[in-house]
Amino acid sequence: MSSTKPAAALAAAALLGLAACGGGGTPHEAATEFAPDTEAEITFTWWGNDERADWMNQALDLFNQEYPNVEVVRNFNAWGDYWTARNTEAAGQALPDVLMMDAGYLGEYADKGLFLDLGAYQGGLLDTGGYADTLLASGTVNDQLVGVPMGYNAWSMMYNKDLLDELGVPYPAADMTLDELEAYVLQVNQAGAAQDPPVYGASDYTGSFPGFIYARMQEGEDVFTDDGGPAFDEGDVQDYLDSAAELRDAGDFYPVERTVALDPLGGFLGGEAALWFNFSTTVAQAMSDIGTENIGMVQAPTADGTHVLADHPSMLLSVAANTDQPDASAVLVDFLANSPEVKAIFGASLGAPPTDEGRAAVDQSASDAVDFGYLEAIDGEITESYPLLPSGYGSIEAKWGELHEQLLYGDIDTGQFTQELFSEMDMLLG
Amino acid sequence: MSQTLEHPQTEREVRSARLRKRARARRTGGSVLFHAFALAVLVVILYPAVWMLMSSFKPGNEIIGSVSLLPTGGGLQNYATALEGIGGISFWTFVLNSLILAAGSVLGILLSCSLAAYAFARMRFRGRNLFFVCMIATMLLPFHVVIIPQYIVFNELGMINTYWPLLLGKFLATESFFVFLMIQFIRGLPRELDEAAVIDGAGHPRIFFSIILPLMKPALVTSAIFAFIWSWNDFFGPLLYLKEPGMYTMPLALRLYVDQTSTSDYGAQMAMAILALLPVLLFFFAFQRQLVGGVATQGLKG
Repeated sequence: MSSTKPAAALAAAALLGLAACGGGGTPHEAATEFAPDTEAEITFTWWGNDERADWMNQALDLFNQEYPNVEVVRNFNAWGDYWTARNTEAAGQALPDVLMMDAGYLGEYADKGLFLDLGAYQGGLLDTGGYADTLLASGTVNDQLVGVPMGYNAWSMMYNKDLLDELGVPYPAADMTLDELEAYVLQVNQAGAAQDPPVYGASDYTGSFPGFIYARMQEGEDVFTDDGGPAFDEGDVQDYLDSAAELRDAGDFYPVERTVALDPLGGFLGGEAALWFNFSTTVAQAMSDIGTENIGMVQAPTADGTHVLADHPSMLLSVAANTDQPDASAVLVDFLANSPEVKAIFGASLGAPPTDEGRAAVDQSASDAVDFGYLEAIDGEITESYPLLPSGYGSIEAKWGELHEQLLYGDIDTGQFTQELFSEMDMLLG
Repeated sequence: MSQTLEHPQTEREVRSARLRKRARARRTGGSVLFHAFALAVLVVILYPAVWMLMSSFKPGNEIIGSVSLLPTGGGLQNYATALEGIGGISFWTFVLNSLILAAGSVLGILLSCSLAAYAFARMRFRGRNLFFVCMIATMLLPFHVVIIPQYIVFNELGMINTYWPLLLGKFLATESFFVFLMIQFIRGLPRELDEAAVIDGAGHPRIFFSIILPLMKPALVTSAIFAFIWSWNDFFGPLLYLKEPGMYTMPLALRLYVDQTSTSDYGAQMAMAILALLPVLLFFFAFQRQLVGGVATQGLKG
């Protein structure tokens, strides 16, 4: 398996390179009307599990009640396999008509001209009236609307209430500063040391790229330039990594050996660490993996305890440039993006519905309640669009994770981390 | 006197008896050690398999991170979930799809590769060596190099989302490994048999069907077993070419239970992995003798 992974990554890179040679789709006159009895066949692909497939089938059945003659041929894969299959299709100019996209890949695909500009349908077949401007901006690449977010979420800090209750440690506060966070982690460590296996405060929280983006946002700094290069230098990355150096060097973070052993769960999802930094939607995953509904959520700590937050599109719908059914595809995107019935089916599992109407339609599960509660609480603090991620972002995020693991193992230091990250970015971002 | 004579004899007897005893004890000791060691290695080797089996009886959140074998609670729930299928598609559909592909692969490979192998091994034609080298060269090409061109070709032919891309090559003798295996086998058969048939007036078709094919049975069985197992376990091909869950094979379906971005049902995945292993295991046990015999005749390792 380990030997096929780099090969697959190489192949994926080659595929997208090839896709670039294909060029964009032919311009199409966007229709403004779509008769409900129009006949069409469109293909639609998403990633996710069995449960999501059931929900998607229900949603598409609703779609067919409204448009009985539009046949939607469905397909779904697990996350990793999804991109292998889509990359191959992109090379063959054979992407499905409608496909689910991730913010990390949107720029990469859109830059190759693989997507239809849905802007032409706005106000017509596609209604984006209820969407926040900051959110729509995150689906816009090169002034073209190439992805319509099905839901959104925001960066957050989750905590395991069961674990903290057991240890007798109070829950973290919403306006924690980074110094307070450090003290809090040590407090949990101390209380959890006697447990078997020992409970830790958190895994090293500089371990993911979105965390770095969040930190940059607090300083009012960009992460990427308009032409897709990094808007930060080596010193910025090193400072960020060093901000947790004290705990890291003292071995106060959840041990990396254990994280690797528990892969893909890690400390928090494995129920052995109290804090987790991730996008708010992932609380559903946390509840399921840990097997509890008692997960709390607050803003991730910052230097001074105030926050600048952005609405991060958790899942976008795109239409392939190679589609021969652009109108029917746009209608499907509109239906999935706006229909309150569809939102009621999915809850917040695709991110919180972006429109007020959509959110009101959701019969909230335990995880939805936590997610929506958090998003409501931070509504006034969402002042930024999530940065548009350049092509190759997915690989950079993965590289960050890889390097960070080496850092925790002590194989490299923060200097080497920075150096390798930048040489990777030189290669990928150009 | 007799006593002095007897005495050393008894002493020698006693000594040899003691030596025998010690040797036996050493043998027993060695044997116990060896068996203990072998058992320890066995435990290490079998542990993952047993872990998988026992995990299939555990509740989903007890699986990852736990090295314990004994499930607490759980039971057959995971199997019930696995048999329910995924996304409205029955478990048996995946089994059937896998079986269709595996059976098609076996049939295609046996038919086409044996013919191609006969041509290479027994017929003289212009460019034979060149073609042979070309065929061997395809074995050296990594799979990832040909994915894109292959995908584009099949896409242009309108064969995406059908079983054709996964079967067509098998019927056209593109699996050079099997062609090579059969060529080597046919080369080992005495030419005198063909010559005798030629004297009796047999042409190539007759020689192939009446003489070579029946004698090739061990090679055919080996190829059939490998073709079945490889097709059954193939993940990448079906992932690229099949675009509807209703056409998915077992390995693809297995992956649908675990998704990093949403909740994963590890229990059902384990249960399905066990169920997916069964046909291959049965196939292996049924043909085990031929497999070992076949591999031995080929002089192939592993």
